[in-house]
Amino acid sequence: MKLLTPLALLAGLVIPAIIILYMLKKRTRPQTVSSIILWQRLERVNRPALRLSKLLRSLLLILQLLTALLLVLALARPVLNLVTGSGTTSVIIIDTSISMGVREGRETRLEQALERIRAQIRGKAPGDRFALIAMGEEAAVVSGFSSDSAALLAALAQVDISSARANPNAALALAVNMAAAEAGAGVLLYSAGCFGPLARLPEEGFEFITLGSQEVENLLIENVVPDGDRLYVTVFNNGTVAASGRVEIRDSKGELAGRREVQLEPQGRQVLVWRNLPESPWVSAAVVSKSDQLDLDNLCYSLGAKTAPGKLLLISEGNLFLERGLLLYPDISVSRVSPAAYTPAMAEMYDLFVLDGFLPPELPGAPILVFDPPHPNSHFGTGEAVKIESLRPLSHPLMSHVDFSEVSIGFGKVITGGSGLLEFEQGLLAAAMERRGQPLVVFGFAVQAGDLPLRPAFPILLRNILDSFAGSSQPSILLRFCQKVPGGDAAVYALGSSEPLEPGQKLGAGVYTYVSGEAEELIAVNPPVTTDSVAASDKLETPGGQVRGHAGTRGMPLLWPLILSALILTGIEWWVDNYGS
Amino acid sequence: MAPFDLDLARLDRLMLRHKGGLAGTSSGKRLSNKFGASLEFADYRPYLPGDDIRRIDWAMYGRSRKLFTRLNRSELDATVNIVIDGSASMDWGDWDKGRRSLALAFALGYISIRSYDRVTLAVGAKDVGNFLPPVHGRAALPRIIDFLERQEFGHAGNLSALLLSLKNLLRPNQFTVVISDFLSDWRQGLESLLFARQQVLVFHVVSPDEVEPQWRGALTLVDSETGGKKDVDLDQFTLAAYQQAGEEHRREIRDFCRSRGISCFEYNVGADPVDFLASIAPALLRSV
Repeated sequence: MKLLTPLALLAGLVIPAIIILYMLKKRTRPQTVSSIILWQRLERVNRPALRLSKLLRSLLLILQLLTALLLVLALARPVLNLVTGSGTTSVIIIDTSISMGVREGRETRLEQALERIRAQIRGKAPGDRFALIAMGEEAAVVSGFSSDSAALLAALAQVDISSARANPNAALALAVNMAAAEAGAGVLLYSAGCFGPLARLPEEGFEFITLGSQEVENLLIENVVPDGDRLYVTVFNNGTVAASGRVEIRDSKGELAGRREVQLEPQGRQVLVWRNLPESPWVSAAVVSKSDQLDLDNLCYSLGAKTAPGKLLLISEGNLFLERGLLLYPDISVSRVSPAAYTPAMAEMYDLFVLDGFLPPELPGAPILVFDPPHPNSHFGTGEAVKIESLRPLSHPLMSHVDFSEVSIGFGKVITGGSGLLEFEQGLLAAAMERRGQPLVVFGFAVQAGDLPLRPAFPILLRNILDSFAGSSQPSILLRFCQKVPGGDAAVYALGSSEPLEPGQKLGAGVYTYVSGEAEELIAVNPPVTTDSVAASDKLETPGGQVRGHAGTRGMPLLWPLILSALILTGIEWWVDNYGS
Repeated sequence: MAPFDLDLARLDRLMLRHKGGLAGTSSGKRLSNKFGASLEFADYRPYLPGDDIRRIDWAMYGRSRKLFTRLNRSELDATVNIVIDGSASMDWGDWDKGRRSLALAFALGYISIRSYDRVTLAVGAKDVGNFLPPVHGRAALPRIIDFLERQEFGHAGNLSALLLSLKNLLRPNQFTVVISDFLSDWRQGLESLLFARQQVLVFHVVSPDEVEPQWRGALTLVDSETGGKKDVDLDQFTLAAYQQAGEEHRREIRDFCRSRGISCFEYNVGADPVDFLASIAPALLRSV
């Protein structure tokens, strides 16, 4: 236990004062009685009653002293450092996924967690040591083991929402490694529990401190995709109750350009389309809802689409999904030819090529998008078609706004080389490469090998790739939410500011100007969003079964329990004084 | 209502229950073991010259051819000595202990007069200050009232001394009723009454203020008789101890009386005297 205001213990001088007051002779007032004979007999009433009386008299004094003691202790603001099993040296993992941004009352879950950890740090014994880990999509050490409360609190101030999902396995692995270096160190996980099953848990000294409730109302802007004079805004409900709100579109000047009402059931999605919006370098879409509990994902920025016109040749035996998908872009003129009819001369006639299950002996000297490349081939490495169990999108500019969470692909081929876009159990399933100075994007599966063409991800993916081929709006650098401003020659400016952001400063949601040499481009930074439920869970799924969390009692302030106890004692004292006999 | 605001009609056909052996004249209503002129048959004896021939039992003569005279029991009156503690403590408290004690004495006197007994009254603190010689008959009631109305309480008392001072006024086999709060020495006085062959009735008078005082806090208690003082911190614990002491005091009186065949009654002056007497009537009184 630690006292936050130990000087208040000086008020304990009131205790000897109470004793002295008890010892002082009281001033009496005269009262005539018929006779004092009976009163004189008080000293010789039978002994047991006398003892009880004396005991009760002492009890009054004791109760008053206890009450005074409790109030003095309450003034000293004690904080109870409850140590359960893991000892006082701990690795504290703080969930920094978007689910921790949910407001519970006036505070977000993350703020609640940080407040508790701050109380824990302030209330720690001098020898206690803590390490801090932020658990986003990647685990990051915020502070190594330290007993310096000021340093720990300063490190804690850096913790903020950083990603859409949490990666508890990476964080726990890191924490276990750190805890192994400290004798008797335990692991504390502060989280809303919005993640999947855990690979393993620390064998001992692990505590899961749950935050948040299981009922959440939240609408989010899943993505905003401009397409010429149209704008696609996807709104999603990842809460647990039906939610309604208003979606507002604003241009770069902040003028309201559109407004729609939405109402969605849990896990419901709605794509809103605006046409003929005024020209603007960027737009923002926001959900306005009073009862929405997660503010961070209510706003999304999108830069205007700039697709250079071009002629595209689709070489395919016939793929309705692909043809329809490509025809969505009026700036591009699409032609189709079967692989048998393709001649090398055509390579000079088109600006872009989409190859579906076909690779010519010599690739055209233009940007190429390949689906289901033949195996083997002479242009890049591929593998045999194998069954795909799980699919994971990788971080790449071409995958911006592309949601593969609901996409499933049956069979695919491993692609070797290039930077990955998608991966599965065997390796990369899609990759971006460069051939003779021209971009080459290869997907190791046929478009119709899964439900990709039926998902919103498909047109967005095509849009990103074609924009990229057109040398277009895809920024030369990908800036992410909560990322630190990179150093070097380039500078990042907030909109409307002439002063560049300091390197190392964290980026919030917004539109920034990225200046590198002579080049200057706009970059939209959006907060992380997740379509997973953000309802809190107090159970962790592990291979060994469920682990139930608790509300967390470490660093519990004792102010109110002490005041409550003092009030109860006062009531008992009153009762003893009036009815105790 | 009658004097002292008493409903005397409820007392009209009652009389003090006696335990036999009373002395008195032959004009009362109490049957004695002597032969007299009542209608109560007692015995036969052979006729002697000079006997009233109206007492000869002719039926007996018819059967035995001998003359027998019927003997009847005599009816006596009793003398009821009512002694009232006149000390200052009897006049203390909101409930006017003294006035209620006088009312109780009057009620007892009324019962006695109505049952053809003789009544004497004695009031005093340490000795008999005021005494009403034996009176009887309904015509005596105004004298009793007048006597009681004139009494005052206001001296330091000693019940034993008061009762001892009565020895020249008492005759054997009489009732002696003692009305007191027993807040002074009392054992020797009661013993002296028994020694004087009195049938003793004790009324221990208490006030509700004495049973459960209403004041609290730090007090200097002043004795209404002696002016003696005692400091107390009157809280619930002290009060409980005081009440325990009071109960012990009352138990001592009861035990003393029981062990000596004295009828003892505790009269809380919060109750009406007539109601009180009605409540103890089975033990104290009987119908005329």
